[in-house]
Amino acid sequence: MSGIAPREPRVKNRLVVAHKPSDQVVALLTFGAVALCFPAFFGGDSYTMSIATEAVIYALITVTLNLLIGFGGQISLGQAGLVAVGGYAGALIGAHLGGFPFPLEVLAAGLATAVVGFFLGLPTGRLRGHYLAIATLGFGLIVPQVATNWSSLTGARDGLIVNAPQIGSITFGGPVSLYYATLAVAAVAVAALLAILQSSSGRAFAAVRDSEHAAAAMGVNVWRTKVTLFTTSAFFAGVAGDLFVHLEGIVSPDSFPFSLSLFFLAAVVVGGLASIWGSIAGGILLTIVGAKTSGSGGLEPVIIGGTVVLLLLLSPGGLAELPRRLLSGIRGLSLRELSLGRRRISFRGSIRKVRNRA
Amino acid sequence: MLDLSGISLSFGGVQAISDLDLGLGEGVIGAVIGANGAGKTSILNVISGFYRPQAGSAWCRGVDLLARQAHEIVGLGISRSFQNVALFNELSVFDNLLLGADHLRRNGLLANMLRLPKARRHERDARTRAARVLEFLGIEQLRDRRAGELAFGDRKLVDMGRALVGDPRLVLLDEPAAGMPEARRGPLADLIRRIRAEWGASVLLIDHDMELVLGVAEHVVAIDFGVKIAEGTPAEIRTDRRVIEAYLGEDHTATEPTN
Amino acid sequence: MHAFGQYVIGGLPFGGIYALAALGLVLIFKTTGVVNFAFGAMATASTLILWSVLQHGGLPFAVAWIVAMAAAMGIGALCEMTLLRRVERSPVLIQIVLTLGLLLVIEGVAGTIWGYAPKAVPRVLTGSPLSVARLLITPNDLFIVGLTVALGLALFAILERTRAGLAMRAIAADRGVAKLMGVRTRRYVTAAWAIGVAISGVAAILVAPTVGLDPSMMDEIGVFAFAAAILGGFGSLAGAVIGGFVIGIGSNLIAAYISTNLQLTLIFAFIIALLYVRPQGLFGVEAVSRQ
Repeated sequence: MSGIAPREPRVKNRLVVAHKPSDQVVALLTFGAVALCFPAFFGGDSYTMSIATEAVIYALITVTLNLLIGFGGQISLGQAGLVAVGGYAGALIGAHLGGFPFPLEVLAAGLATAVVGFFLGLPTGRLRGHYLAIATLGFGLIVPQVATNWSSLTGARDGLIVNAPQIGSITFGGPVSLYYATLAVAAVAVAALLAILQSSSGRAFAAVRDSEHAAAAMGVNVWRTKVTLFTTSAFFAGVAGDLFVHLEGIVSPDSFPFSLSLFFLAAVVVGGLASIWGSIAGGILLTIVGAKTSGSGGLEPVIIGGTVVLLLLLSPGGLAELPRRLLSGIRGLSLRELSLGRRRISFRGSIRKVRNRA
Repeated sequence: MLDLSGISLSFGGVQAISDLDLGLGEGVIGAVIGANGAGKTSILNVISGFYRPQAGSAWCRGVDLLARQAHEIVGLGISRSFQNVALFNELSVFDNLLLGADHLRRNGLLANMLRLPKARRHERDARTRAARVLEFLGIEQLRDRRAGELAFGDRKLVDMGRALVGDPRLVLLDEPAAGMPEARRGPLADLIRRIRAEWGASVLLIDHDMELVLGVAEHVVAIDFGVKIAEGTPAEIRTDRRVIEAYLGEDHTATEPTN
Repeated sequence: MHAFGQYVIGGLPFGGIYALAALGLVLIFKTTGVVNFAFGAMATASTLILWSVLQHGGLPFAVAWIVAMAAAMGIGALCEMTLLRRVERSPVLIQIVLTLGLLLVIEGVAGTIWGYAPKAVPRVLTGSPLSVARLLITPNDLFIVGLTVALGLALFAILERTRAGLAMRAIAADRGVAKLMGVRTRRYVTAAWAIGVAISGVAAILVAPTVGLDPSMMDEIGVFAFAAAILGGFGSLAGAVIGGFVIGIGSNLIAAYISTNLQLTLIFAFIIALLYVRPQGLFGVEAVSRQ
């Protein structure tokens, strides 16, 4: 412990939360348990069940976006576009191959979206920051436009009807059975994502995020990793898209506006970057906020936007970082220190430190 | 085992390296010394594949380095540390080390997602290697700490540790003494010798701290403004006229942290 | 051939509007490094204020315009001082999400105050189309193009020839050093936000007569403005103007020869392809990172 060497400044703005896998698993099991028991209390109310199903789907999408943004360090303002591709793929399979088993349909939707994600990742793998943001923004806007114009395939503005998912002779038509079918798929998806993140692939994503040079020196092919990241995120977004259109019963270009991409972005940030349970919490929270305010005619975006702004100013690490912040608060951080990005010289007794605020 | 010949590198009108020849044998601790800006880090960056020289050749154990991309270099057994300690700040120390071994893996993302046996095997292997390095460096207690939160000296150790996990044949150390107080120099020299002993690898370190370099290296190359001005054993370098001229006498003062 | 020329002319007014919007974006970005995703909503808000002034006073258009400009500058300065200042050194993602959140809030508040029904805003110049070299162009459109070029040149002159401009360029290059040199960075940053939003406000006022004024008016236009800024390289004022006109003319040609529905798609496809080949845009400076 040298007292003379200059102390390296802490990473400014604890943006990425990155809980240990063991923490994640506990939180996820808790979510899982609650989710399983949910219909026992609310199964009778089909409106609540559909909101719950929507929450599961939105939580999953938020996780896929967090994979890209939090774990991978990229940016995307167009996740809704990928969800749309998955949704349309699932709808088309259902329309042309009646009776296709649900698990295979989900897989196929994911694969179709993965292909699109791959082609999206190729050019965007070279982009950064605002360029990347705007390019993905463009993508998110293009998909509904293409859907509108490719009327022979997609039914244009009218969209396509989507039937209930089925496996063989079992149809998951009712609100509770659809909820469970959705939950099952989402759980498998999250488990797969966890497996990826805890492996060398997940480490490669994080390495590219934290230091591209060091990553390359460790043998990580940076561009290929970014493309893989986009493709993977797209796959699971496509899976979620298929779940989404089964819930809605219909898919049309209007189902995927830019505001939806914003919604997921907000959920990721609110929940905390690089935290799976944070994303699930964020997705669920915003779904509830959205459901509660949808009737208020225009206030919904204000509330969501306002929530995001306030939360960012107070806790850049989002919900996932809140426990840590609250604990630190008990240890005596002042409220002033909770704002973002300012250097401060603090005098604590006789020790003078230059600190970046977390 | 390392053979650079006629390397010339320039960017933006600056001639960083001019016609440099540099050779290093198996298991030898070599060093390049020079003042800040003399082009030392550029040499490492050429070897690592980050910079492409305009002229010259670079071979390592029969493999043409210049024909490889940056991420392929570590697969040839060449690993490195960084002057600005480019750790993966959001990851734990252990994860940082695991990454050092990931280039040895034989599985892709799909195998990882499905937790196939070959993926699990790699994880076990990587964890064993990382644990060994933690123990070697004596930093087991830092294992689960977030890399970005560590003290500077510990960060340097993790940075070096990353370069050791994958069983390298050649370890490049970029200004290992930068930012370290004089008291740490001895232990650092010991560490470098232990690295060579434990892994049997060649070491090439670059630094402007004469005392450290002349104390630990067996073969030294001195450069000034990208040009080699002397080469030989530490004793020879210490008394070389050109070297003394370039540095206005031997440098005993504590090194400044470099950025 | 004549039709082609007419389509080109037809793309000029929107080109100018995209250029103006992009100018405001780029000015703020150049000085502070922040991309203001909420600029469209801010610009629309100031236009709504203009409309209110016109409704409730019978005051001349010029007065309403001045009030709107003041409002725009006020909004820009206020947002900078209260919110954006805090995220200047934060990662890009936080800035993006913050300004997006701001976008939602401003649009929502505007919708609550003014409602969502489209309102009418008068043109600056009325009059039937003039004939220039056998091509028709309305006086208003000419005015738009002229104003765009004039503002672009004025901005350029300010940045290149005045001390204030020098200060802003210094801040854009390296804020820390600028501070050490005694530049009052705070006020210039606030000024950049104020002026940037005001310029975007001009774009909004000019486009409102054509598309109808409602809180989400600048949503789609904003996207094209981003495209223009990116095309120009995001660091270059000239690039923003040129990018704006390229996109304005380009999208009109696409609408004429292919389909209005595919404007966005083709333009962004073009831009993504361009960025693949030239990640810094047409006029951007390639970032060199030292090891």
